[in-house]
Amino acid sequence: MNGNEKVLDVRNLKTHFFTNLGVVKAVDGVSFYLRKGQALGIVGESGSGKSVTSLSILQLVPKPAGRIVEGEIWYGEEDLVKKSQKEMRQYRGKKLFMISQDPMTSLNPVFKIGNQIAEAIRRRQNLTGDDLTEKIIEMLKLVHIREPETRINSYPHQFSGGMKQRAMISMALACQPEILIADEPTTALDVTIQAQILKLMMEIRQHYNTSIILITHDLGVIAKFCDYVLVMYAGKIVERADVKTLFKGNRHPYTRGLINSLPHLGKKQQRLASIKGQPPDLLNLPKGCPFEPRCDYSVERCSCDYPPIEPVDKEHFISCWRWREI
Amino acid sequence: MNGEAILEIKDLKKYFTIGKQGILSRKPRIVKALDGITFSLNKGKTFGLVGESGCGKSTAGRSILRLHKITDGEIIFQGQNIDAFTGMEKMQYCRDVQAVFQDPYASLNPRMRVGEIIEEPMLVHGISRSRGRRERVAELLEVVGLSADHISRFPHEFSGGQRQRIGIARALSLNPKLVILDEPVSALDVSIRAQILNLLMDLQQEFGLTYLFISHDLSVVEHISDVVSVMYLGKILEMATCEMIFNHPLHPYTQALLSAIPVPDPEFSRQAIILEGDVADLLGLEKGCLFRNRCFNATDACSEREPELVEVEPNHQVACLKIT
Repeated sequence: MNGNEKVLDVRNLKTHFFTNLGVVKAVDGVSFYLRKGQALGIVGESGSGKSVTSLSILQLVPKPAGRIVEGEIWYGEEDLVKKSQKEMRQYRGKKLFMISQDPMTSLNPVFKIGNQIAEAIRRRQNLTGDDLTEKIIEMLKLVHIREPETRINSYPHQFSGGMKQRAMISMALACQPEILIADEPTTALDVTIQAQILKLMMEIRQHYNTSIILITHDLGVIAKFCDYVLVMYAGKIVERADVKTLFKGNRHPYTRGLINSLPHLGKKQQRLASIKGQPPDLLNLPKGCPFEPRCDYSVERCSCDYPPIEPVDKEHFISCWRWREI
Repeated sequence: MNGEAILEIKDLKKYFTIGKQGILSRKPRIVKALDGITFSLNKGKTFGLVGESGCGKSTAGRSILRLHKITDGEIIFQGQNIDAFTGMEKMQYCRDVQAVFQDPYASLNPRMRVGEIIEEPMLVHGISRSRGRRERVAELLEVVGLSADHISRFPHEFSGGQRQRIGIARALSLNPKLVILDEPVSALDVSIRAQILNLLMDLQQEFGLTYLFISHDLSVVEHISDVVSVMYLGKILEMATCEMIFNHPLHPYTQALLSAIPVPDPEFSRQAIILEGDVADLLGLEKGCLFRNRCFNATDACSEREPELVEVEPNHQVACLKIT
């Protein structure tokens, strides 16, 4: 992994939403990079800013309420933040591809599956007629959809949730993007189908050396799939580390709390360790560390100043005043 | 699975008819949401019902709550068939059996204050005078970990976890004996999920409640249940004590389900069983085992004969021809 080129470099990204009730700092100073062929996981609870981060990369933040107020997103030599919507079309679907959580809404209900995949194929190759049909069938076969010859004429509502998500992945395959952003791709699916989809995504990654950003709230999926992980809380990255360090050598109280609060299969405990309190209200964030009201380690300083992100070692960064003691 | 049974389900069937019958319409299709399930809930214990979407687990819960009219079978509560209940007995049954639903955003009326929401079941059942009720509401709020000051707030002022606590308080307001928990933690964030699970277990201890815990999340079911049954397309495929299901699963479907759960440990590795296809592939499965087209152990015999739930060892029932 080391020494590999960075395909995406996000620096101090701030995406804010300007609402009637005040400014919501959904993403507030996030920096990270993605290397070639890496699977980067972003975990966090609802409202932590993980989805807005991915939308910011694609310049798809809902307007006019949402705006990237600061920061740079370097894709190679280009800063995506400075691109116009027209220029972004050259990136979306070609170099950056996004699979969203809800496969029911990411497909157009009035077009046949085959036509929608054809659209993705034509972004890369100029195929028509039988060649195109053949290519579509090949794509559907790659994602293990049965009887692809008849299935290309189906509409999305005739597909099950897992099949729709596989159709989305077949589009991703057709586009051969450099970066695949998957926002909770398996959350709406059953476990056995989740296993199929994750296996498919692993195959894509091995086969095409695609870099993947996987956004999820499921630490099990992270452990299985990713090599590097960002933990987000209230719009900020609180800890980032490679996956082994994150599970075995984490230093942030929030990361630790999250991991400890999971029930372990095969090890039945009497009680689960839980994180006290409620998730933060993004409109009224505390002045200091947003996790301070829920933290067992908090000291006076935590409620006044936000802790800077500090390196623990080369690939392990943390934002906590007391990480040395934890 | 010995112990005093509070609720017994015998060969419960619930069929839904899709598409009305008319001159021009197609032949109505029958969906067998529940196709003959039998189990019993023991007093003070938690019975876990797991399965993927569409397996009928929620239909089972709703049938017990009398929200569905059952097609066939018996539901016996404390020795009495609930179909034979008269007016007063029906009311008493409603008091004894309460529910907590999955979506804490949809299951609370946004126009009612928290106090009114929790009070409503008591009003319906004509329990205690208004002062007593207010006190009881305050007490219930404390029991579920909220404060009595919250009584006049609206649901939108609460986070998901807090709303689920309100839902639990409402379910407890009538001192139920049995609580149907239909995916109570699925919509919650990880850090909040643990809080609610702990609360549910504490309440069970304190009030001697019996739970029917419906979930698709096996690790949560393992944590809370005493007995677990695995459902697939309206049938129970395996039923055993929690330890046996999780440490020694026999049915291929249970094995696959367990191996599909991602373990939050990057150093953990195992040979995952990845099932082909999905639940919707039902074509040509009129006869025989319903799981056979996804099963890695299937033989010709599986399409001939339908396996029955058979006890293979004490407290462990499996419906699979290869095992029984």
